[in-house]
Amino acid sequence: MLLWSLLGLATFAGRATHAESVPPFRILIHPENPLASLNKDFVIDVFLKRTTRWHDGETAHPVDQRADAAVRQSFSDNVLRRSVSAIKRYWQQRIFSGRDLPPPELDGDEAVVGYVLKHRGAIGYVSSSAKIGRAKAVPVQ
Amino acid sequence: MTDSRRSVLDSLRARLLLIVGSAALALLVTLIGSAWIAAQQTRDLRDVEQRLIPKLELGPKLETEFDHLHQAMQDAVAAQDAPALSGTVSKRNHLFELIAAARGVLDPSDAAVLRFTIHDYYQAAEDVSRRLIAGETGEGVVERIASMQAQQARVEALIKRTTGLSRG
Repeated sequence: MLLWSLLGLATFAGRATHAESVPPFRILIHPENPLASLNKDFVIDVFLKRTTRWHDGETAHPVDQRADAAVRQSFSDNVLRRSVSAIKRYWQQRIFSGRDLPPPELDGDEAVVGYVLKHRGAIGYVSSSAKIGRAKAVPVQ
Repeated sequence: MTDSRRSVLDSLRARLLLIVGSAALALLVTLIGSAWIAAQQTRDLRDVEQRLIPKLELGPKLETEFDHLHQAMQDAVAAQDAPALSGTVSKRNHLFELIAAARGVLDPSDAAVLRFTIHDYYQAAEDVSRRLIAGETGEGVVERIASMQAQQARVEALIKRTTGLSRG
């Protein structure tokens, strides 16, 4: 019994270490976007629309996934450092005060990849296992 | 009395009469002028009291009520509460009542345009709110939000324009 418990604990610890090292999502940008990596604060600003342009002047088009998608929760917690519900409240406030438009929420990885390939200034995120085609996956530092 | 002396006296009398008459006429013109100016000032003062002050007070009232309207919609969406969203119609109606009560203050055509613009905003905002409560997503919702925000900006600009003092 003790042996089984120790084995289970070891497996859980192994998984946790793996989850920390490999984020369960990838951030995608358009293939013609020259950036090779992104600054985390810049990504936050783009997704909250505090920044509306890329460094080269191109308009930024962030795209979200549905609020109930696991990848959205993971991205929100790890990159935006806020829960999905906090982000929803943020956008509701901005929508009804007439100040800003939220990023569109798309259904699933495939739709996000399609959106990123369609808009040169797009930035989105998909689960690690998603097929990203020509879209460029970039690390966030 | 000689003829020459009489004619000098007549001339003097005529001059005196002319001076007195001119002075009386000047006094009359002054009195009438000041009475006209006083009446004009009274009219202007009444206009300020009855129309311009209420008009100035109406602007912030409408802006506050309009803020309450979109705040109520935001709260209904945050709470995912469709009945609360239906209840926001009372806030829209309150805005209509304020506009109707300001009949003597607002130009009738301005009041009608303001009412229609608020009505259009309400329809757009209610539609967006219902979609958000239903969990609708995608680019279509964002387009509707943009349209609602454009209506909202129109209402805000119209409130400022119709309740400002630059218009008659």
